[in-house]
Amino acid sequence: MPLSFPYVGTFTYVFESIARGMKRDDIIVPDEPTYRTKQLGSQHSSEFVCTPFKMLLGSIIEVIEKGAYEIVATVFVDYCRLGYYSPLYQFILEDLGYDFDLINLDWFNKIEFFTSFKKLACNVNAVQAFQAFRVGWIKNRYIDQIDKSLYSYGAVEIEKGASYKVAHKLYRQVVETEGMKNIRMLPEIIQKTFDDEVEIDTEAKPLKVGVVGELYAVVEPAINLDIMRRLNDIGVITETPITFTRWIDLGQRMNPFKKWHYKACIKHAKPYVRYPLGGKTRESLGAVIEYKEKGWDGVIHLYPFTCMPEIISRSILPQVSREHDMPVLSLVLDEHTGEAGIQTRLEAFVDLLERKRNDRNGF
Amino acid sequence: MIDSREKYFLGVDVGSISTNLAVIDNSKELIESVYIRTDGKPVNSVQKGIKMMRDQLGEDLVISGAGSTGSARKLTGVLIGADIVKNEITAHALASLHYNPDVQTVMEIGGQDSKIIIIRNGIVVDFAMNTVCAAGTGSFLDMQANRLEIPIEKFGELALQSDNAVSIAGRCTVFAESDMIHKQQLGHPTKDIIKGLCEALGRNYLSNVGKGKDIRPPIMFQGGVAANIGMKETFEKYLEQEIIVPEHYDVMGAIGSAILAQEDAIKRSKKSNFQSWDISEMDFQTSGFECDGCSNICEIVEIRRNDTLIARWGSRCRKWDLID
Repeated sequence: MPLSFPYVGTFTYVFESIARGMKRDDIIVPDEPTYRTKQLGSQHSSEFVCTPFKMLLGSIIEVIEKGAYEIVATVFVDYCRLGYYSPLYQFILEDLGYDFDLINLDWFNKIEFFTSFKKLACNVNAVQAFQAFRVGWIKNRYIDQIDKSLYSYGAVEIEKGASYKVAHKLYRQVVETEGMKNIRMLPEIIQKTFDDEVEIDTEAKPLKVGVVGELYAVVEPAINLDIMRRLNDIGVITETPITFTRWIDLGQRMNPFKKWHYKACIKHAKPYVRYPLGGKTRESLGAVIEYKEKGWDGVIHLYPFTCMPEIISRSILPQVSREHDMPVLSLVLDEHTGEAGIQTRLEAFVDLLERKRNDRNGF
Repeated sequence: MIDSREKYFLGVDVGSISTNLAVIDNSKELIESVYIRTDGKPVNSVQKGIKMMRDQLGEDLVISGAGSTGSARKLTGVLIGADIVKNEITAHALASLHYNPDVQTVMEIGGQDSKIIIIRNGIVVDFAMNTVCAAGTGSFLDMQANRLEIPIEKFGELALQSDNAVSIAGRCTVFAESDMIHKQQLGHPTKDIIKGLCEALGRNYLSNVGKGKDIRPPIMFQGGVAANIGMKETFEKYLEQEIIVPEHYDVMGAIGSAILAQEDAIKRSKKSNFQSWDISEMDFQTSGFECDGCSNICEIVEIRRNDTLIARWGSRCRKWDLID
């Protein structure tokens, strides 16, 4: 039965790798979300549901239209409405009369997780399935590495768009590399390709801005209007600490010495919020302090319109920003495609950071 | 007034409602300004504005640098050949600082945007703009003035005549409008409703845009809405501070943009890109088409000057881009 999944930023490549590793040759790779995806999603969802819900629904409908039957809907649940995503998709898609099987990979519900996982891995035995998953989490590290290089080389590249091209070539290469020995070579290849193929301006002194906020809003360029690339275009190095590594990378999770960025953030956020509130509330708050300590210049906080947890962070952020003297820009995202508003705010924010830096350096 | 040895700089601010032009001299003093309506046609309004400016200053005046700002800054930049294209927050802050170097808070309410800029020691340290909602901006006031058939210029005066503001929900323009209609059908006098509306918008601005901001005096209030004395009084009431409305409150964006052009000219060795005063006679064509390369169906815009393609943008994948 054709297998597919909704498109979620560059994580899509990891997913494709895992499915390939499980010898599923009937995968339907989702397309990048477009204007049509947004429209499809909002047409069939309730008005005030989170924007990521709508986008993912649109993406699921698009893969069903392409012939998918088994669909991996969510990988984990949270304290917010994310927990309702899957059951709601089930209802909505049934009402629309589609023929499908929604697979839930809910890590917190171990029994369900393993039954679903077994369904996915119907072509291989348990050891092979685990191996495929392991390859997946290792490749995820390299995908993250490409993302990180892309958004730092992109800020200082001489020929505009060069790093973007290189990154897209490398994503494919990571997905297609087979055999653990070859996979282990990837980090070097990635570094070398960026070094060789992207000519950078060594004189530039780029500002550095961290992007935090709600998971989907941060990782999916289709909803955040490609904010990281926009920052690159105005000469700002950027990165996001929010990736899927923390959930799927069992190798790093079992390593007691691994320093997790998000854990440090949560610790920083303790004076403001002590309990998990869903989403990335505590992480968004703590990241402001974490980036300040790392010597970065500012933080951009993204949240989808009506996202419950991030609305909480948005109201506490001004206080954190003031107390730690770290500029923060909160941006709310929805279906709108009017880019002028976002561009104005970004440019003004970067101007502010630049003047602040010059002032500090005594120019 | 016009000195041939002096250098002059032009700033153009094209917003959703108005198009403003300002010419300053080397010491950043305003020489002449133009304020006209955009009427949804930025190209025409820029041409018209340039023509009016030329008629006022004479075409012999040489422009040594030009800047553009406002939501149509990219388009305007191409049309006039701007040396510097900058966002309106920076432009407004610079203009305010020029008129009052001690200013600590700038409140700007324009047609579609409302913003607050926090300045300390002459540097922008924080800013905020309205988020998903346009409640409390000029467009809404304009719409209501039209509905009540009161010229927008009289709006503030009328509000001042009232000493009994009715309560109106300012959270959302839809709620505000239904409240206003309800109050009007109950028989409340128009001036009370208008005063109520000003107060509602002021409250909405302070709790939405000004949320969590440290508003310290001196406070400057500018943008088209600053013409409304009713709004000024509302802010004075809620903030319990004196509000300064600068003399050229309606063209501050353009002045800021001209200042940016002046600062840029000092660093730049090349001649200015500024087209010439003949912009109003040139034939600008904007045309659009839908790209069918993928299902994003991007709307591509092309701008031609006298039949030569000078700019093209709008594609998400950037394959059509023809700028920079």
